[in-house]
Amino acid sequence: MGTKVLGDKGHRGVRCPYIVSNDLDYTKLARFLAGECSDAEAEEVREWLANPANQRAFERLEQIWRRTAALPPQWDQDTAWTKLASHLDQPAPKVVALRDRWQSASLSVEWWTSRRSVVLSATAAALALLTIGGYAWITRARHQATAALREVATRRGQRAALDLPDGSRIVLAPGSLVRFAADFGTGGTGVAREIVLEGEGYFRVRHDSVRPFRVRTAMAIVEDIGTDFVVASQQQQRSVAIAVVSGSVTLHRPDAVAGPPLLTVSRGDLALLDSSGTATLTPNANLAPYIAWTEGGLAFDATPLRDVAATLGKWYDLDVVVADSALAGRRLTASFRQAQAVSQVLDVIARSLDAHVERKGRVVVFRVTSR
Amino acid sequence: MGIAAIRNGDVTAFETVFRTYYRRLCAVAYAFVDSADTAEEIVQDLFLKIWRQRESLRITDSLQAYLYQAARNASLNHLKHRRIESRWSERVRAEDPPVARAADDDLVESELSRAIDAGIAALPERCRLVFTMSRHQGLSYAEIADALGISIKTVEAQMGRALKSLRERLDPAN
Amino acid sequence: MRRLAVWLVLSPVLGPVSGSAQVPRFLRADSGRAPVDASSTPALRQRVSLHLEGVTVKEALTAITRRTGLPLAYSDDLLPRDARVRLQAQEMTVGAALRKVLLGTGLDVVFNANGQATLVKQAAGSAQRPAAVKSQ
Repeated sequence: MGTKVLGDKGHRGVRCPYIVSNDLDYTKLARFLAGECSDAEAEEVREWLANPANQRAFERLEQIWRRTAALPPQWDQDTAWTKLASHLDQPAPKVVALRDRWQSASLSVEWWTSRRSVVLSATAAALALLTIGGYAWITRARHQATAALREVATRRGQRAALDLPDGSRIVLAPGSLVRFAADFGTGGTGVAREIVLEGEGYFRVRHDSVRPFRVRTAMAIVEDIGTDFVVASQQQQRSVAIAVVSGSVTLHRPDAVAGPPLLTVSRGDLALLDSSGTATLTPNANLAPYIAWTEGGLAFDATPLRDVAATLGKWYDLDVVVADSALAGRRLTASFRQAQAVSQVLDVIARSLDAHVERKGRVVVFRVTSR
Repeated sequence: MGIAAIRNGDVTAFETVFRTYYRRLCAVAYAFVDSADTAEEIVQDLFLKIWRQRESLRITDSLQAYLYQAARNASLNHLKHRRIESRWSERVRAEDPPVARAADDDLVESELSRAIDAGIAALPERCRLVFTMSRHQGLSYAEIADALGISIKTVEAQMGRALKSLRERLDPAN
Repeated sequence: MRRLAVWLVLSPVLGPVSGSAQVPRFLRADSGRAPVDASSTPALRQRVSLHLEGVTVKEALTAITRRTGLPLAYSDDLLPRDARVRLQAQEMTVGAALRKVLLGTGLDVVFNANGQATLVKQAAGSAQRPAAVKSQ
């Protein structure tokens, strides 16, 4: 084993003591620090270190070495195998994001969403299929077309994204539905582009001053003035929340779209219309809980665990239970980026609330930590 | 041979391969993608794809080399398609318990760590990969060599190069 | 930089601290809860400029996280409701800003392997009490 000595420029092939400073044999010292050198080499390095000047130089390297240590992740292959094994015997799913562009007449797409497989019998002119990694964001949407109406609906754990013929875009949250006319956007001047929404959707509207864009929920109508906004309509609580990312919208009661609006909601604002019909506007609000999901994340703001549980259930298609009533009211503020595994999200929530979380398949249980 | 068995649909053989290579492949992916979860996802998707296409599996030489190459490719693909900048995926650094500091309600800014981080980011791609796999993931030279498909000598040289570069960044005059 | 002033309405939950400030620590989310060196954690070294006067701890945390994108999770029930915080930060590190905001709250910041941060109550008896609180 030849010793490669970088320091002895004038004495090729002959081993010489190292020259201090400029000509350290970094390769060898790296091996030494990494514990990858032979005993003989280690001995050589130690001899070299006897010189205090070399020692000083080495300390610097040691310092660098120490400071670049990090926590290696713990790869849990048992859990990984269990997860993988459960997918092995299923046919390859056509699990995709659906971006649906259609010409009004020629499209007739129908598919149904059984657990894992999707059957497409489409004569669609242009169906773009894209894969999104991560099973948490399965986005197959049920799409029905009749002569007059189109409807796209998502189930728990699903999102859907669609581009409308007018260039506007909708991203639909899990357990939600949008419905609109087959000839959407093609009406004459003054004919509104209207979308019926149940649940939660994000709308990026292509502005058209002669064809107002409206989102109609059971409680309210939201009319665009050229915007990106989220409408969250809560069926049971009979309330609506509108978060405006950019631009402005006006808020009307369903029967009063022609008249003056209840509110104008602009960029950064959050509007709430509750079951008693009271509309409140919060300017410069924290919109993260309302829009984080549109980028695949999730956010909560002083949200009681019982509501967090409901949201997690909807988004990940889980059955989330809070076993102890003491826990249910604990409030969580958190934001989770896209591409975080459910297990991580659950752990962080549990840690924040000093709770214990357990998951078995689709069932998740939060408990108080036993003392 | 393992591959033939897998081609025939032998789940046990597949599991053996999985368990043999899972951690190392995660380490490879993690060197590219910064997020442990994403790394695991990439590797699991990879294995799932292999299983689904098992009948047309064609691995001519080493299964190990094939898997490492596949993991690298999948990671690079992921980086290409990643939509959201992940500023916060840096790893949490471990350190020996700090020498007792003077009580201070403010942090002493460490020029050193900042310089080191900048230095690592400035390393050439392969050099950085080797160095971070060693320091951030604690992999041995042999493991790194396997994972990246290079020789151990190359790993040694890259480690030396990284160390030199970082040291010269900190002590430019020297 | 001005000195941080924090007035705390102490609740029984925080224990008998009687005015001595507890320093928030940065810890790893494993069973050992080993300390993280804030000065070598990129997430905490990012710099931020903020000027907050008389805001609640929650408002201060929201300002920091909105400005920097730090993924922080916590239970609102752990934050002191009435305490007001003043933070005059000019290119201050996130770590320093968090320590100022969380000083005296009896909370630590725990990081998981992905860089997600969580606030947890300091275990009784383990809180550090600095000998002196230096002014800036």
